[in-house]
Amino acid sequence: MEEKELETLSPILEARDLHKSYGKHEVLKGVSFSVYPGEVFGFIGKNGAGKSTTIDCLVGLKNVDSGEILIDGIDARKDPLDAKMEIGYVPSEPVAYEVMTGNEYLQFVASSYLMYQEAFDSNMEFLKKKFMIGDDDLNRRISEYSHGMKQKVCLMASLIHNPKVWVLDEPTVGLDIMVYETLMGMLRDFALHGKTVFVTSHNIDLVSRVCNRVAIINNGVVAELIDFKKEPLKRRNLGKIFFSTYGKKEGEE
Amino acid sequence: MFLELLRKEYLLRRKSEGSKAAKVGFFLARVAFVALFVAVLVLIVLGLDRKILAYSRYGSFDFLVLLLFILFLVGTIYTALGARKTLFDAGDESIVLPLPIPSSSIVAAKLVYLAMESVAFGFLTATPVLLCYGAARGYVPQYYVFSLFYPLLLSLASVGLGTLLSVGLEYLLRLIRKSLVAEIVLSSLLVIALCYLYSFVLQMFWNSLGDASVGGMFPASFLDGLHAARVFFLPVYSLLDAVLEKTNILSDIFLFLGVSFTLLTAGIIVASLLLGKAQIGSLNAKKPAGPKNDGKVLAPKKALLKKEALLLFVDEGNLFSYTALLIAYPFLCLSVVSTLQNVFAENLTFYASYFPNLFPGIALLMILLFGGAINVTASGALSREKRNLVLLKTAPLPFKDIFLSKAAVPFACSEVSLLVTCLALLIAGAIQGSVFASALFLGTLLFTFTLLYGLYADMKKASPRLKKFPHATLNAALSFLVPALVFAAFFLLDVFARLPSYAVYLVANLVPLLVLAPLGFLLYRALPKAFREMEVSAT
Repeated sequence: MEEKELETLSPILEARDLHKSYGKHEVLKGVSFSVYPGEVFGFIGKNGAGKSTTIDCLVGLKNVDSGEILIDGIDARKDPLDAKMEIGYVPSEPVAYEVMTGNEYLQFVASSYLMYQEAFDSNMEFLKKKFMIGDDDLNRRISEYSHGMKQKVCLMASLIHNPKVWVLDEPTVGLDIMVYETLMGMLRDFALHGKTVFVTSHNIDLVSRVCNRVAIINNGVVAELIDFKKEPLKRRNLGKIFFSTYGKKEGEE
Repeated sequence: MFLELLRKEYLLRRKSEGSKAAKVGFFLARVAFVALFVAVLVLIVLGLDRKILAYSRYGSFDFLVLLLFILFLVGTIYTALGARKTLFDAGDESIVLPLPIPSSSIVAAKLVYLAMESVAFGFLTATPVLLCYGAARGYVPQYYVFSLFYPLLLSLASVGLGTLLSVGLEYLLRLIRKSLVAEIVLSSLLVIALCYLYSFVLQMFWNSLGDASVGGMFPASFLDGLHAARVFFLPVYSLLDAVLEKTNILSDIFLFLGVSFTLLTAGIIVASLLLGKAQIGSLNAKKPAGPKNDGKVLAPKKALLKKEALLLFVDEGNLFSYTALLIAYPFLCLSVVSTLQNVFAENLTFYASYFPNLFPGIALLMILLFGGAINVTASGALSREKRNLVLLKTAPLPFKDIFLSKAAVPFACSEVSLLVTCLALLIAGAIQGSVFASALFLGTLLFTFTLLYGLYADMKKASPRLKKFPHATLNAALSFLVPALVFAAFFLLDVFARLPSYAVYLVANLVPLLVLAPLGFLLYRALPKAFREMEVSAT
């Protein structure tokens, strides 16, 4: 996306001044960012910085104390169901009904998103080819899957309804190299088709290769916002920028 | 290292019980249950022993052998279930096998832990029986030392046999798991068999308390058969014969040691083979694919109902704690209420005629108590989701659809089971029409309330805003308290207030309705907000 186009578009995902506390401990102290259609947005930070809490609030797992979350203009607090319709979410640890087979689970997810049968069938065929999963595997119970297989099924479940915003929390854990590269390609393709990707990861390589913009969260706020279109050299130095945000040199604990 | 391995086994088997208060509560409840169990066991043994002594000269020893052999078998099954968990634990093996720990230490720690569990079981069951038997006959002090060592001696055979049985059990279960119908049928048959066993033990309990002779329960032909068969109750018979009868001490001891060490050796070999199989990765091999799926996308409500049914009926955790119990509920109530009816008719006729609502109150208590206990296991409807709560919170599913699936499936199942139970009792003549109607009404009220409160409790557990209140514990307590209060109402109004029957039934039905219905309505209104406030972590 050209710089001019980004500025003229309405954001597809907006977080405005998010505040969230766990008891007396304030985790989010005014997180604000905007994500535009057609971009891959990286959200990184060290453990305990507020990354997971931000994502949990975006997808509806937790409630913010104050602030606004807008998904395609829909206020997630006032119209949570409509907001959730636009999101496909991949948690950091694969979550699925282990008593179901892969097929049954994907059908359940499709039902939740009010999918038509034809759309489901066509999306399933596409995703089975993309993630190289056969019917034999999908007809077995999820309880028998390896970690990597569960992660694949969760990725499929997040995309089955063709969401506008794809939210991924540490998506590469447990994936083999072929699926990892497939996922990288899918993240780029998803954005190229005018959709949006919001991804958190500790994998600086992934973030620097795939993302258009990256926000670094520190101490409950967005400390750094990098646009690789405007500053392409920062792709190579993302690691250094990350460490300098936290006041440390690379390699130093 | 060996102690660390033992500690690891203990931590793997220990269930997490939440807060300190909950841990103390569960510990006290366990102690109370164990004390009650030992007290009932001792009462039955002493009562039956006294009657058998009066009935048959050699019956006492034979019955002791039989009882201890039954306890040995029960202990072995308990060990087999524990061995199945410990020897087929893929998660444990994946951690421990790559570590530089000798396989012999791993196997030894597992078997020693099983032996410790077997010894503990023996202390709670066999030792009290032996102590009572000895005390009734004024045996020498050495006998009581033997009673304390008895569980340790029997654990050799118990662990060996339990390990062998666990292998058969595991492969049988893997076979059964391929068919959902087979799973449900077999687990239900097992629970029904346990119900009839419970009824038999209850009958024995009442007989041992009452003045009736034991000859009705155990005819002479049975006693003669038992006397002939006792020599086959190894290794229990050989050990007891050596210590108590002292007829062929050496041969008995050799027989005991031979049987015990053979079984133990076989168990060690099997456990070592299983560890070897785990090391080469063939233990938990990939299973074949299931039947082809029709690929149909259902409407959200239907999809949620189907999912709920799967969680209740397919999830192994719920199979024995809920599903099989629902099917066994009619048999359980029929056997218990019929037994109590016989007891009242034979032994407590005075009370039955003078307090006509006492037995109906007891019957109602049993029906509601068992039903409430079974239903409360299904009331943790959101806990059943475990980590999948993430899916319910992130998917665009209206709360009313989620609520409908969570409440409707267990409620419908419990109601059908209650109706079948009440009909079975009515047709069998165990209860009258008034008890039938009250049981249906109060049962429905209790199930509805515990389901609503269970949902609310689950949501509040995950809400960060309010202080932690033990809603789930209170809900479980209410499922026992409400039947008890209904019985208390029957007892007080009939025995002390001497009210007519219609007044007793009216009060006993109206008071719970007036208390539970408004509370249930308030809970129903509070649920949507509680769901919104519920917070779930994806990690």
